[in-house]
Amino acid sequence: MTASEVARQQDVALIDLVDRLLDSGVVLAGDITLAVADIDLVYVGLRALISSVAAAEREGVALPLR
Amino acid sequence: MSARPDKVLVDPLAAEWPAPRPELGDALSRRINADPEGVEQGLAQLVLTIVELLRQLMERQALHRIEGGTLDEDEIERLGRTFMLLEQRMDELKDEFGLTDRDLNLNLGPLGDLM
Amino acid sequence: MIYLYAITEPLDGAAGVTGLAGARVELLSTGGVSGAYSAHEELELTADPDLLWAHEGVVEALMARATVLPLRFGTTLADVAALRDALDGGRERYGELLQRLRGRVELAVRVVDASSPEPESPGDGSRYLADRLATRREGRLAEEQIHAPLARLAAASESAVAPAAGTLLRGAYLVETGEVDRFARRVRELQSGHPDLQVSCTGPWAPYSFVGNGSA
Repeated sequence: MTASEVARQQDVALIDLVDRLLDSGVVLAGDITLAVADIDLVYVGLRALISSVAAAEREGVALPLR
Repeated sequence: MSARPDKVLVDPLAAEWPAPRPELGDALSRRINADPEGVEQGLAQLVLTIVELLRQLMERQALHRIEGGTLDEDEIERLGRTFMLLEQRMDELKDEFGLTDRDLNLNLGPLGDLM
Repeated sequence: MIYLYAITEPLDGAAGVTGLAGARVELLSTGGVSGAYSAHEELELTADPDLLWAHEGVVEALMARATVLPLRFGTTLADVAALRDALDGGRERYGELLQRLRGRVELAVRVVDASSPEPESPGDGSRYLADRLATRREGRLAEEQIHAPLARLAAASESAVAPAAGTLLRGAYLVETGEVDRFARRVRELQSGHPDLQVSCTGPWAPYSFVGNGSA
């Protein structure tokens, strides 16, 4: 393999390594769970919003953007 | 010893390859230096998740309307610029709080992932 | 302080490998799982490729002996007592995950559109949206043509369409250890069948993408 081929393969491996080590894997201490009741409602509300938008998209309804 | 080219099972044909992400330097040290109680970061995570969600929804809507031909050139131009700026700003904010894209995809338990 | 590498099926004795800053990797066993860690007076943690590969090296050495739940890079705890607490607290969940991941490894696939040049600093707004539109379309195509056939070879899989500039598709696949070669052959086949795409496959990795989204 030429030097530049090796370099490219290093890059190819590195980007997948970084994706895994910095973005995935088990996370221990430092997790924040906002478990207050009214925050839970916000989560549920967002989910309902996405579902209704997704449904509207399927129906071909254009939502006002302003 | 760092490089491990032996991890590559299938090598792309291209001579160029997208560079490793710019977060490589910053995001991690920010995360480590974050407030010990994690309260501020938790709130930032919630706020940025909502902002990111809305940004994605709006961008999807805009693309949908472009495909449907219901936006004129001016509107497309204005929207595009706004989304560009929003994306830039989001990257800066994510960096500032040491949050990655995966952090912004909250898991709602039985409802699945937010995005 | 201690630096954490992975949670594994119960392992005895020394880990037989060194980790970050040349520190010896130790194993703490409790309630049906083991935690792999190294002790440090102080540790400078930056996202340096050498450190990342050192972490990965420990994870892979452990993978050769037992099923492994790899930790995200950069996890530290005050001491071994804190690790014991964390392991005891998550015992059930870790046990389930270990069972599900036994004998399996993760393979990563990335599809890049090499033909279109990376957009430089902000062009105009229309160009931005047009690019986004094109990338998403191509990403969805790649999902059908590359991800779907590969997902059929995996016990579990994840995919992301247009996750970042320049990348059309990113996929993670959980495959049996013995199936890695067959999977790689399939990726090569798909690459030959789609000369307009640039496809890479790396691995085997520890199953980082299949341990849930965190939380002990």
